[in-house]
Amino acid sequence: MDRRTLRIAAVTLLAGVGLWQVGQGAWIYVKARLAQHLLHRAWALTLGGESEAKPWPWADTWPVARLQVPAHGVDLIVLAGVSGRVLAFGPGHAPGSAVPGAPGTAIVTGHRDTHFRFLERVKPGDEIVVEAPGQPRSRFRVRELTVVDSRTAVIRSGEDTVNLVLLTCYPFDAVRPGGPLRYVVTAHASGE
Amino acid sequence: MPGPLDGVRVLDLTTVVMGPFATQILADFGADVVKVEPPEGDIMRQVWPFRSQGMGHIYLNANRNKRGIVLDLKRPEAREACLALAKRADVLVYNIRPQAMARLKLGYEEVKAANPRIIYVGAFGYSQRGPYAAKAAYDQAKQEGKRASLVEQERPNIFTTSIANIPPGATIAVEIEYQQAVRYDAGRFRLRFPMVVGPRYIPGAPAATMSGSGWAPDTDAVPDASRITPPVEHPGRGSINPVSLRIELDPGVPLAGLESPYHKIHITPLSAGRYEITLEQMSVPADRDFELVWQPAAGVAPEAAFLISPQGDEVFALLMVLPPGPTALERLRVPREVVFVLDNSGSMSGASIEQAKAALRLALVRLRPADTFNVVRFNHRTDSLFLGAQPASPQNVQAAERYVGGIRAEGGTEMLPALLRALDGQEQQGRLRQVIFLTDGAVGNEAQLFRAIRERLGSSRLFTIGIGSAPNSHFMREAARLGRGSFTYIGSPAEVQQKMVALFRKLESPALTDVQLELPGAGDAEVLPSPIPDLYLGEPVVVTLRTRLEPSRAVLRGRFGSTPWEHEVSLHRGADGAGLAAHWARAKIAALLDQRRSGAPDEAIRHAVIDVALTHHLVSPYTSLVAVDVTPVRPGDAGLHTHALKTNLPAGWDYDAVFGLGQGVTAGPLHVVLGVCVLLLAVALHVGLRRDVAFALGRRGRHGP
Repeated sequence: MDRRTLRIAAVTLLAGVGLWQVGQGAWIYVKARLAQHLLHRAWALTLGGESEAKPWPWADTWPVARLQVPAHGVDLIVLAGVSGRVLAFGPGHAPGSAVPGAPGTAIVTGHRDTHFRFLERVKPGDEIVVEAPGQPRSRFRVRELTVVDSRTAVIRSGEDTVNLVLLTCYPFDAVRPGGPLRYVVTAHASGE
Repeated sequence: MPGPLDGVRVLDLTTVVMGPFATQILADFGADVVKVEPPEGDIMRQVWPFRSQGMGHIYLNANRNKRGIVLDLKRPEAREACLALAKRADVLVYNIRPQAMARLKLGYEEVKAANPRIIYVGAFGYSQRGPYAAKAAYDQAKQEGKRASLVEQERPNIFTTSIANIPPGATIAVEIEYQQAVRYDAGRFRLRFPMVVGPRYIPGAPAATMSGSGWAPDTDAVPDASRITPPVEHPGRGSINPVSLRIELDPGVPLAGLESPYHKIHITPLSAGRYEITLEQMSVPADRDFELVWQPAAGVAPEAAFLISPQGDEVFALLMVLPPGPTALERLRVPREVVFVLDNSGSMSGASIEQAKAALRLALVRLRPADTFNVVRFNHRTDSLFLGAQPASPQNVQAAERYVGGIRAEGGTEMLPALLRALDGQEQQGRLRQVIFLTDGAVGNEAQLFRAIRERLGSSRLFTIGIGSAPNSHFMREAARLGRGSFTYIGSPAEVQQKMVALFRKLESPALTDVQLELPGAGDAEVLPSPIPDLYLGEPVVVTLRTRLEPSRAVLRGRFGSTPWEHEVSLHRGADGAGLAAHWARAKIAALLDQRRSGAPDEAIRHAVIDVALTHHLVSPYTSLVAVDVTPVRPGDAGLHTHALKTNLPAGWDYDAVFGLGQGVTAGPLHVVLGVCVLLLAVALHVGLRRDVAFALGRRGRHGP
């Protein structure tokens, strides 16, 4: 094989790998978008009284709340659980934390590059609206924006007050996943 | 206007705020309060701001409605006057330390001699006979710059050591002596040495208080949560707390086996049948339990052992008798109803949940068609495979295997609802109901759970399987004892098969129940535990006793199912056992605390426990050990910093599943950036290639025909 063929093979291979990688990345975003459409359907079923309505037959999660941030045009369905498989499709409600809108602190985690990208633009005072089955629609006001080290931080669950914590990775533009820092948005019920 | 305390006279020796504020409430309710002040007056008189000298606002605000008298209590005539006032008073209140009152010769006995009806009230820090009694001494030494240490019991398997006044850069050695009875089961002795307190899940609503320095706030369900949750080092930062071990083992008999299932060890035989055991590595991180297992050689396995330790005119003894082996027993013929309860909380994530699932699968295939079963799983929510127990048909067992296969470990550990679901009082006539609980026991509300087991057990039997590298042993043991079952541990995948087969043999053989021990000639013996618990296959009767007359034989009676059983052993005094008195005392304290759980008055139990603990120098829920070095090491003006030492996360645990804040990003950006880089490389190469080709063509052109 002469050098030229070798080079062409290398270019083709590199192009293939590159396209495959970009495709992989793009697929994550497409999946994140697509899933939210399917989830809105499952959410309608949930509001209709069905409990743990699965958005697709093989899903191991289900919608638990709807989260809206009018100032940033955000309308997301929150899923049960925070495993990687769940977060690929939507922000996840931390198991064991309070039901959003009920007394205590509800913790919702999302990916900083998909669903929770908007947290970067959230400001204190922004309004967050949360609906959960069996709970009246509750409104929250953003109180605090902090960055914590997930290796040492503990999020205290509030006692009687109704709180919402939105979590994502930090910094927003880092390329490598798996860093220790987290961006924490704390909101308190604004009590109408 | 007369109040409810009209006619009650209070002699008020208090100063500053707490005492005066308390007696002022009595005054507001109508009591006649006479406040005794030293010649220089209550110190709060001098606290600014005030309009007139000696009339500070705090003083005025905490002393209204009182009458006053000045007495210098250090002078004998003033003391006489005070006692004369006490004679006509109903209540005496003070807020200095009781020792100081004793120095003034105004202790309870002295005041009582003047007025037998007096109510003598002290308001002071800590208490004289409570769990914090030693704290007063410790705290004083700490304030005075003296080196001091304090050992307190949080749980029977969690202790806190506090050390005060460590100079900068100093090395501190803490020596703790403890003793532990070795467990004998199925022909093997097992010694377990826990090295780490795994992070516990804390249920309940947070309270405003923090009684300790842990990561969890106290809650209504776990009032001491902040004392049992030491800070945890993130495993990403490496492991801390290195441990090295040296063990000298004197088994007393030749051994057929000696091993440590979770650590690699070196064994060196010493003289007289003894062994020295060390870790193969110089030191290991304190992140799992250490266990040493030894098996007596065939034929020398003990059938009975009697250790004795005379103390004064009393004798403390330990008696172990092994009931006849499995050949003499028939297999259990009654069909069973087995309820498996699987903990799939975040602390089980990683190796633990896999071990638990493997154990559960083995148990499922072991069921016989005549048995019925159900599987309950819980984290912060509880659900079950079936609504009620179903026959163990092949289809049902398959459904259970699928159900178990789909379980992931995440979330909280609300154990109580799962326990109540399993102990729901739905026992069926003619079936033996066994609840098999697979968990690491990483919860802080043990007391709540034990109460539930005691109240709801009915005719069920509870068996615990401690999962993982550092299970809560106290929970396993105590839950099985209250549940009249047995317990075992699974700490590695290699152990699943062997430990489960041993458990199946226990579950499928009749238990020895209604065990009675008779010690002819030692009628006054106080035998513990009482009653003697049921015994499962391979387990010996182990009792500890205190007596004045040494017994020479023991008769054991009991029943295997409906078959009566009797066994007599003559008691040859074995080797002298050191520490048997302390062992008996521990059993006695456990028995006393048990009475409290079944509703005996708290105060009486507390006093009884303190008496036993003080006699035998034991740390208990109500007694602590304190040591003070009298030489001050910290100059008065040097600051004092306090901090809690971290622990490791137990081996095999998943930090994010316990404390996890979740992963906040996908691999998307990485993929895209990598992909784009590779594409750019391809383009560069491609451009280079074309230029190369163009160059080659050009050359050919020039040299062409």
